[in-house]
Amino acid sequence: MNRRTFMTQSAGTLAAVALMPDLAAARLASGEQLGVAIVGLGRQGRSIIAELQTFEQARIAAICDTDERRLASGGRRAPDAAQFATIDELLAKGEGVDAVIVATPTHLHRAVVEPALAAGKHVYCEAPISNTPDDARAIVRAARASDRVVQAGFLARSDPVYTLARSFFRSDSVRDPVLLRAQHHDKTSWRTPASDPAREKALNWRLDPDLSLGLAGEWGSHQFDVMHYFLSAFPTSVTGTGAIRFYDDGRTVPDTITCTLGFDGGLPMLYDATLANSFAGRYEVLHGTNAAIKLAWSHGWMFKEADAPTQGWEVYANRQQFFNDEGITLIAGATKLAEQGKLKEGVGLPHSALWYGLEAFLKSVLEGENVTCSIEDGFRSTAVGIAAAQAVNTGEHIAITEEMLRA
Amino acid sequence: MRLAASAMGTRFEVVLPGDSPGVRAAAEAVLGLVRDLDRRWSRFNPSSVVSTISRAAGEWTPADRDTIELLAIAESVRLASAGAFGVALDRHGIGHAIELAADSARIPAGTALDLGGIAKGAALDLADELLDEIGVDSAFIHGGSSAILARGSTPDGRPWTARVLDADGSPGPLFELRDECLCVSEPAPAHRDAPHIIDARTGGWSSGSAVAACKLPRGQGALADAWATALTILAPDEFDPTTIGGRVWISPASQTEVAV
Repeated sequence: MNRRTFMTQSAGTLAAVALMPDLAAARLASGEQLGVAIVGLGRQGRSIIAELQTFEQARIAAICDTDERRLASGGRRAPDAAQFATIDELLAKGEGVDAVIVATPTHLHRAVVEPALAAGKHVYCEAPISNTPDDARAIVRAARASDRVVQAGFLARSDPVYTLARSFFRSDSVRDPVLLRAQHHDKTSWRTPASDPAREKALNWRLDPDLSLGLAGEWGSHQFDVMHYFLSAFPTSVTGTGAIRFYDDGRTVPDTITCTLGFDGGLPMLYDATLANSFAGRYEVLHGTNAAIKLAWSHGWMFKEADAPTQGWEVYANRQQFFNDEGITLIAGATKLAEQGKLKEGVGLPHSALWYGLEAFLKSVLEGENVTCSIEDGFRSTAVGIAAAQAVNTGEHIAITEEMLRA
Repeated sequence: MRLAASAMGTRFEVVLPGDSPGVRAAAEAVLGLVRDLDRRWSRFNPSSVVSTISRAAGEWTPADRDTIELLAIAESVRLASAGAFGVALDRHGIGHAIELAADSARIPAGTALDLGGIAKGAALDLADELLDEIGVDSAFIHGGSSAILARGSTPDGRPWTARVLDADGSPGPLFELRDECLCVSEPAPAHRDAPHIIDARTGGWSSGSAVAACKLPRGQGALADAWATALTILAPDEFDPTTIGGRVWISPASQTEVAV
């Protein structure tokens, strides 16, 4: 007996557990839930399953993956979902599918997005939206030709900490930006284990130089998007370096990179990413003449300069010490929480960044709210990621032209 | 290949035969899963589903399937242990019943979830499923040395082994493990300043056994973890450990092993 069969087979023990009727089925009958299909059941696809199951307004109607074992594993987590090996099969036979979440490898997004939109499904496409400008433009064209909701999966635009921080950034609190920095450090080989040697190459697309955008595209594009979102501007150039510093396993895709992106007026963004060290994880910092803002998914802080003007709300602000610097914690709904004496309870978000991205998508589909990250937003940050990947791979200075950012 | 990561307030370690890049990737996948589960099940992470359920105590809250199954196992052990084990605790530390649907959970108002007595074992179960999926037959995984999954046997065909230490550090029994999990609880280990296991019947610190170990077939790590916790709380005359269906060692209450 394993844990998956525990609930059904240990009747003697579980008889007294208060198992209630399936609430999801009841809600479906009332027609209130959105039927969602998840295509791609790797680690991100599984996270999406877990997060979606916390929304009352959605149900997982179908799951899809070409890998049988992944599909079976997804089926154990979403037992009511129909299972399909291909997007064509899903679209032909899947019942009650209103929306498709695309969590396949980046280079396969187009092959899912186009038929899904053609079939009248709403689409949430993980980011970057593609690994080539041509495919990214094709995705935008398909979105424009459709009247469905299409959202790109750059999550800062729906994250309450980031939207709050953006409001500070665009006020006098930070003043003129002088320097942007971001990093993503995670000690992991970026290799996916394969039960079938024949699947090894397909599963390890991130390490295939013909398919992968590398760290600059796969990770960097998300953090470049933060800057695009805050500045409402895009870099005009990028240079980069890359090296294999740790994983001597035959790979050619760098495990450690740096990029410098140049914005108008000489504003630089310094970026580095590595698979060989995890110190300080992932964060972005925006330095202004009055303050710096540091952002790390669910948490954000503002570090004020001594000569910056003090604002009224700072009186009740929650603060956190970082060695010699004191950060003001950025808390969504801080004024209300302060009035209730619960300011510290607001530190950190009640949900993950992915949850907020999915919530935004569901609200756009079900309630007609504006899309937080349009496919055009997603295209532009993807395009910058592609340019950065090119800079890392070639060592050349890449000019990012308006044409490159035009879908 | 040995790889480790910090998660669930302890150190998880994965031991796999071989040292190829693919083996490393398998170990990383397990540790990545454990870190994902830590984010989902930690009461110290405001973004976790556990925190979400606790904030909504008194109301039905949608939750993912893995969490619902974990809570079902926790509730079954609460019932079978007459309330000694519990994960929905009020401010006095007293455990309460959890209501479960296929897609939602409800804990009583005024309670909050604490999965400290079961989460590591449940993580081992899901790691076991992942290793099934990626075709790894032999593996030894432990969380803080107190929750162990042994998949298959060692590369030379012998069972994996783990020795349980008594509270005074003296050697307890040597457990041979083959496709099994072993969980150990110690209410007042020497490296801690204070006891850390609560008797959910009273809300006080456990005053039962010094050490309890529970071995069950793999796939039942959550059950083994919860029972190891409960067995340190229950007095010998309060519970018959043979009903668990595995091998149990309790010290000093009995200094005996029960093999079923």
